[in-house]
Amino acid sequence: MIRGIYTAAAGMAAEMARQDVLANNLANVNTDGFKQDLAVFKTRADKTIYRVESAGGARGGVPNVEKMGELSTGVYLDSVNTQFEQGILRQTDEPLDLAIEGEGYLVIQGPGGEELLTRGGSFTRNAQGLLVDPNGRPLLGKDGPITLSGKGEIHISNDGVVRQGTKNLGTLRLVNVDRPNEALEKRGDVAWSLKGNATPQPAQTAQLRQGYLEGSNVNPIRAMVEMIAVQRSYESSQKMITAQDETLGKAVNDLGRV
Amino acid sequence: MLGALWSAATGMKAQQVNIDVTSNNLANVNTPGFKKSRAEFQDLIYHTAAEAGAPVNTGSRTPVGSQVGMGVRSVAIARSYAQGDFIQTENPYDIGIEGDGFFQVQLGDGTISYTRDGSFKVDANGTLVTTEGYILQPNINVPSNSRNVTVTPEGIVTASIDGQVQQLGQLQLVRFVNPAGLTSTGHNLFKPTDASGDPQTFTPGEAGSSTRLLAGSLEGSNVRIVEEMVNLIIAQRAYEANSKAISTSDEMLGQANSLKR
Repeated sequence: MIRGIYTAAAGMAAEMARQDVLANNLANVNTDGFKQDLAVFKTRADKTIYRVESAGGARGGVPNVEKMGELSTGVYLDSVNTQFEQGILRQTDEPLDLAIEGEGYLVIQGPGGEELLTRGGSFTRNAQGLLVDPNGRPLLGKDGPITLSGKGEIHISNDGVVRQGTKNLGTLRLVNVDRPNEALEKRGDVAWSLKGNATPQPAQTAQLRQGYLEGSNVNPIRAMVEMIAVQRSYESSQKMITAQDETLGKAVNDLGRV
Repeated sequence: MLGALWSAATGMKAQQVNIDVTSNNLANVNTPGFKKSRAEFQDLIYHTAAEAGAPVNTGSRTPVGSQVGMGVRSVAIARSYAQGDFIQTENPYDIGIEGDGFFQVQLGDGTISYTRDGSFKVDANGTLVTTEGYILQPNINVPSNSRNVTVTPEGIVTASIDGQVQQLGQLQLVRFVNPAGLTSTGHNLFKPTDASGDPQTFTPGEAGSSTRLLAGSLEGSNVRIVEEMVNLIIAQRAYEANSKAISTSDEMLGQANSLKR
């Protein structure tokens, strides 16, 4: 009986965590280069339930223990997986907007000099002409950061070659990682850091699109439907608790009166 | 759970900024030399509930961790210097800039600001000034007996005075390494910042520059109404979606509270 209350409470706690993830997805429904997260649940380990009958009769004092079956003890948030599917490309015609088509990432330099991967494609120049993201983190080319001058049109080819006028300023690094969910860790600011010994490889299929931005891949319809599911399943767990609470109440308060 | 409430609240706040920026663009759809802005967002830091690669009780390691995000923030409001359309006015003192660059104007307090609004006038002293009376730099003086004032694409101002064509001056422009770093001070004016770099003076049409001046035309606003309308719809719906996340979280919290009778 009391075990059931804990099982239902676990259900409520897990749905709360799922709602946290959903709310973050919805908050970033308009964040360019954002990839949505998916909360994955797992059932807690099953427990084997035994029926213990009172001793006596032919068995002479040894209690009769009979296996009844397996009982699950609820659910928990196992992992949060990022879904890396392509977001929709939006035309902006800004020369320093870069969208990635296919599996790949641009490399930016974090404040501590570490390499971060990103798909957020809105770049700008700083006062020194360095190509940077909105946080001022330099975008890395194969030979380090790229410096633009104030004049001349900027052309960035699909494979990342940056030209201003007729001058070749370098080639952007376009990389990919195997099993991104295991190799990457979200750092906020639409950037991922590399985990452990993960090493980025040159991207095979990815192509850059200048003058486009990749929108968030959050699907608001799916998020809304999922939120309804979260709320209702949370509600059912809550009803389970109330029902068991009432039954317990009967046992505690009313049984004694009979 | 409170995480969900705050995440959704950051989402509403970000979309509010989005609508503020879009509204300002729409309000300036007819402002000469106006450059549209757009709000840019990034996700906030993540709360790591379970580290990926952490040992689990069975002796294996989790391949994927649990990182729950905290919402969104508005990271930049970036101005687009895309060329605006030219509006032909036939007024010789209306000068549009085709290409990059800004006019320099001197404000009343002696400081210099920069503008792409080329609707100049002649003041009582014959000096070329903006609509608000700020003096174009370098000074161009138009004598009162001038006829047929013309501005060449290279910025040379000429007029016919007493039947003779005379050169009144040379217009100069200014460019910045990072024009997106300029700060907008209203009145179609920009001021340089540490992010924009220092102003570099140049003459339109000089070697290596594709900038030309177009007299008798004004550069209109580069706001595109359709784009802004679509943006408005997206911002409103995103705002709505986040408000739903808040009301759902609130109802869930209410249900938790109703557990205890």
